[in-house]
Amino acid sequence: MLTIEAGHRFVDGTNVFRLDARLKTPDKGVTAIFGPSGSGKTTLLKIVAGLLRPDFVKIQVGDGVLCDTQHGAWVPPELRRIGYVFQDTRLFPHLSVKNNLTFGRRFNPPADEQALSFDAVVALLELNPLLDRPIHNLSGGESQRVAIGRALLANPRLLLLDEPLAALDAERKAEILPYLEGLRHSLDLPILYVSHSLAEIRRLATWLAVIDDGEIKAFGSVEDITGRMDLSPLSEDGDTGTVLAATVTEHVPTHGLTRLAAAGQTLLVTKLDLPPGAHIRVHVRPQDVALALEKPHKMSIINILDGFIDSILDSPGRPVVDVQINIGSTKRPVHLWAQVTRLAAQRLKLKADMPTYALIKAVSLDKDRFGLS
Amino acid sequence: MHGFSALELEALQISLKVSLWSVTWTFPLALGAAWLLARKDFKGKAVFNAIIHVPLVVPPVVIGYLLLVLLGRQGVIGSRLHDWLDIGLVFTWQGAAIAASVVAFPLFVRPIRQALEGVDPRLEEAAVTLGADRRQAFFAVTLPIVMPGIITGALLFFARALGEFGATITFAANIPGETQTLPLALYTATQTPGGDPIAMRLVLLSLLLALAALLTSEWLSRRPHFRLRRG
Repeated sequence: MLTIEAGHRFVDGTNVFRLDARLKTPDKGVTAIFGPSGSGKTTLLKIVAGLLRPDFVKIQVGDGVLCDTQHGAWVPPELRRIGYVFQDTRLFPHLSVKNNLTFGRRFNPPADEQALSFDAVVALLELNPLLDRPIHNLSGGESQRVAIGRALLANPRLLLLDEPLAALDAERKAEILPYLEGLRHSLDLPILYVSHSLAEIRRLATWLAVIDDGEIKAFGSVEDITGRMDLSPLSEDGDTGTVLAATVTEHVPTHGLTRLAAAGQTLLVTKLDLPPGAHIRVHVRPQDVALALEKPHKMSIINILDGFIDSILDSPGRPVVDVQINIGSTKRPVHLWAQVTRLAAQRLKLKADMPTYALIKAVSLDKDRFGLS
Repeated sequence: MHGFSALELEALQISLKVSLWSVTWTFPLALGAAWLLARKDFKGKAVFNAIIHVPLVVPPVVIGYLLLVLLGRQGVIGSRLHDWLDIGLVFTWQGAAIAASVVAFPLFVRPIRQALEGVDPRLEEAAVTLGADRRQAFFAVTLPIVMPGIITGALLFFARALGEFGATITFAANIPGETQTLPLALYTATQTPGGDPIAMRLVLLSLLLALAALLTSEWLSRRPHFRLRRG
């Protein structure tokens, strides 16, 4: 487990910001920390890295206690072996790419066999063509890859990524994302990933902590947490929806489609370049889901999922309502959000526990809606 | 072309000895002062800054006289140095070096300070997360980045120390073979009847030395390790 507890009062003139964050997350996979700007995301990372020393803090990675103010324990940042990838990369301008990468090795020579080798990191991030280049003629995306490689080669026990994509344009983001996905798959290293983009989180993270106003408001799997409309930072993002865990079952080459299994049901989507058996996640936007009380016939929508209504979120003044449908079983619920007009909800007399069909157009699930899990 | 006389070569040798020795022992002080001014906020920083820059704005003779008062045989510090450690600075080449160092010190500090102010201190933070302690981070990251500023400062300091006259003659006097640097020897030559050929040769030596210093610093700052372009 990775345990983070931190409390601090920041006073800046008349502004007081209170950080009171408690988070326990598995020490495997990617845990995203999501929240609006000013919510304390970066502050939390700096505390974990030891760059800030708050009033109260306890950090534990696996069996290693890095600091615990109650017991007077404090490992200085240079001995924590926590890789930190900064949003602004902070590459060293006087060193070549290669010497930036090996910088940490001067201070943390790899003690065990498990440590990533230089060649492995270079291969993973495809840094070979960059090695002899000076820092100032790298593109934004290339700089970020070098920064990730530099952090990995310092032999970290935990990797912190502070909005590594935030400073990049859409094209550069698309260039980096596959590397981050690769990282997650090939490394046995817990990663804390700070982001204010739900789209990135859906693609990369397994766990999600929502932080707002210095407090962790919710923590759980990405599927569970992104399905919660009650968390204001999420619903304000304007890019909400459900993340379904799915498995590729087969390709249907005659129609250019791929069949997926999700919650024991079938989803057809346009062809994916993934082998059968691959585990993926599908982001379904609530506005792409329609509801029907009887199984429709003679209709273009090919994905018809069987379920029943769990709850209806109806806030006065909005012309639409959000309907949460359970497409799993009573024992193992799998939730899907659908957004319909209030008029439609009234006509159909939608209420909790009502059996319903959720209709999803295959073409609404374009390639941006998929992430590996 | 006449060869240089023993006296002239001795003046060159003393000049070099005084200037090089000054650069060496002043460098850590200049780096420390520049770091304090660029990176730290403390009470009395404005006063500290003013004191460092005083030699730029007062006549060197004033500095020489102050040194005499402080470090002379009867001086506040000088008498103790003499009584306890048997060190005398007046009329020695070490005294000449101290006079040159004090006068040229601000020229060493300024370029380093400016270079330090141009370095993002968060780079050291990044180095710390990679396993370097604060001291290692400074020496592995910040110091190499400010190296061009250090070279510039060292050159300005060296040149000013070579040319030092007023403070040196006041504090260390004009003793051939001990404190008579090139400018002092040149001054003596111009005061001596028939000294013009000697003066010309000393001028030539001074020019050659200055040229050598300029070329050396140019060569140092062109070495790829020190060459920096921020993109």
